[in-house]
Amino acid sequence: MSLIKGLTISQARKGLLEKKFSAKELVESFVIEIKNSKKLNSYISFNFDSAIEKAKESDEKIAKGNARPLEGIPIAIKDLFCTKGIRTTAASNMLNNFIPPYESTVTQKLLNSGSIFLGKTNLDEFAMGSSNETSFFGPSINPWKPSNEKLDYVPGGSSGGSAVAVSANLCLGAVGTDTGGSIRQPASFCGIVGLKPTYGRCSRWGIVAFASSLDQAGPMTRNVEDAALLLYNMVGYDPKDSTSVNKEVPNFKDSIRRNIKNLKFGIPREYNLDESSPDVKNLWEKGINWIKQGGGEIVDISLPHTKYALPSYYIIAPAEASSNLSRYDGVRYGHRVEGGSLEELYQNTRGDGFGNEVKRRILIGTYVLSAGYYDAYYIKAQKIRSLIYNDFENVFKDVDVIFTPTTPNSAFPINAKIDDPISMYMNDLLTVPANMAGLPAISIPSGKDNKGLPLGFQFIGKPFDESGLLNIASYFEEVCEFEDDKEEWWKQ
Amino acid sequence: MAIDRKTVEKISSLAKIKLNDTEADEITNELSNILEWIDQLNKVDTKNTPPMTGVIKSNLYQRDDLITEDKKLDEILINSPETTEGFFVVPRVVD
Repeated sequence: MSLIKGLTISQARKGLLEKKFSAKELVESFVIEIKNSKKLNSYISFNFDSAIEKAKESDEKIAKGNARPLEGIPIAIKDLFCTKGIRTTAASNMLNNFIPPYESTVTQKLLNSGSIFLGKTNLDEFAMGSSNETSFFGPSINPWKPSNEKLDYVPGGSSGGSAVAVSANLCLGAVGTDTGGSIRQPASFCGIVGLKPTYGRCSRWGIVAFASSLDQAGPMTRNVEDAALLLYNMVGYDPKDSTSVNKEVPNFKDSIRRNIKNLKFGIPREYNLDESSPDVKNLWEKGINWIKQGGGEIVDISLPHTKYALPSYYIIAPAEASSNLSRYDGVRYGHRVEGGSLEELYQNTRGDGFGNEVKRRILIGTYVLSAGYYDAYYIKAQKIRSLIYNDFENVFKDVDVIFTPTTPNSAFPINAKIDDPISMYMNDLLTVPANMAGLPAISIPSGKDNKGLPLGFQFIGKPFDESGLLNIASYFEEVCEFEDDKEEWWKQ
Repeated sequence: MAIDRKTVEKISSLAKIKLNDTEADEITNELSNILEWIDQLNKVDTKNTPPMTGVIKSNLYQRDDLITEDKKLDEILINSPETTEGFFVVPRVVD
């Protein structure tokens, strides 16, 4: 345990190259930790045997001086990425036994960089949810909870298992996806760093599709430098994804200067919500002071269509999902429930294979795309998306970055919101706009509320300015001095 | 806008999702609440605003239609619930 507790990717790389420990020892330490932390339910599938074999290969490469950028670094992969030969479920009964015959582009890049996959992490079913409670395999549990609290807390979602695995020292870093906040919200709830890159930075090829015009993969890590390292090994042009962008990839790590002097920070007044907790508002105020102390400039800005981002998201994302999820028909792969006719087979399979939230979204999507409602809902939402995009384009003429809280509240107990879809959707009020506009955004742990639960700061950047975001986040990481003082109550 | 049970039955049939009675009632209720919440969008004037399908502005490119991977039949069929002689099996569709 002492080997891996709080260990970062860059420290592990140093330790491996200086031969303080081997990749095999590193992987084995994580395997023990994961086995002792089953209560957190952060992994759906383990990949231990293959991970130990890969670690031996990494040790040979290190011995020969041929270490690749992430050689021997054990990481976790959200179970939404197709991994060749490793079961990929999307946390759905529909894909319970699916073994992909191919590797997603992002995970292939990570394999090429020498990293080692410990397993596939839990998530909301098909990435639809903000608490990890819609998973067919049961929710992953937040390692953070108020002291003396009996209830378990949600880790956020959809990339909840990835956030838990990073937060509880069950991997060195993890990969998530973010359609409306699914990297940043769980990162905020679990006290870690989560970055959603610009739409088009990471290839979507081989990621189980949810809402194709919004989905992006990104890193979830213990600190900002690790986010830069992991991101660098995930991005890049991919001809297999028609929305992948052919753009030079900067060495993100070099942009970390912990210096915000003369940068202009936009503070959007529409993000000051009635729903936000007083602790969230106070911490935001504190953050504004930290900007001034660091020599940054504060600019009051307005993003007038912010309040319409979430309701229009709940048209666009379900519409795209209803189309993407039509492929699950019980014929070529996945779950099947027999029926007297082909039609019955489809209906039975999809009625039984999908969980409640997924059905809800497919049905909303089908409704807003159906004849008679298409213009009133779907086209209307796309027009509002234009207005949201224009809002951002206008303010970025005057500011370098936008500074907001990541979520209106800290994590909540399991079962607190699962029966009220709209109150669950409200979790993503502050994260959805960046997806609608395709902008990069990062969440970093910034402090705690009165219950001792982590809160996050969100920085939204100009298109393709992940470097700028990482630099800014690194300054705040230093001044926030977020302390990971949680008790390890889940250990067996 | 509130929707009725009949509409839910129609869209679940379009989406090919079988719902039992209780589910259909619950979903009618939930979808009505969600759609009523979404109706706030009607307050926004979008008369002169074009719809946006995505943020990537570049045009789709064409590529040559070449086989890049093949001989994967077994790997692909292994995931199917029922196959025979290299085909997927479904209930009889032609009498």
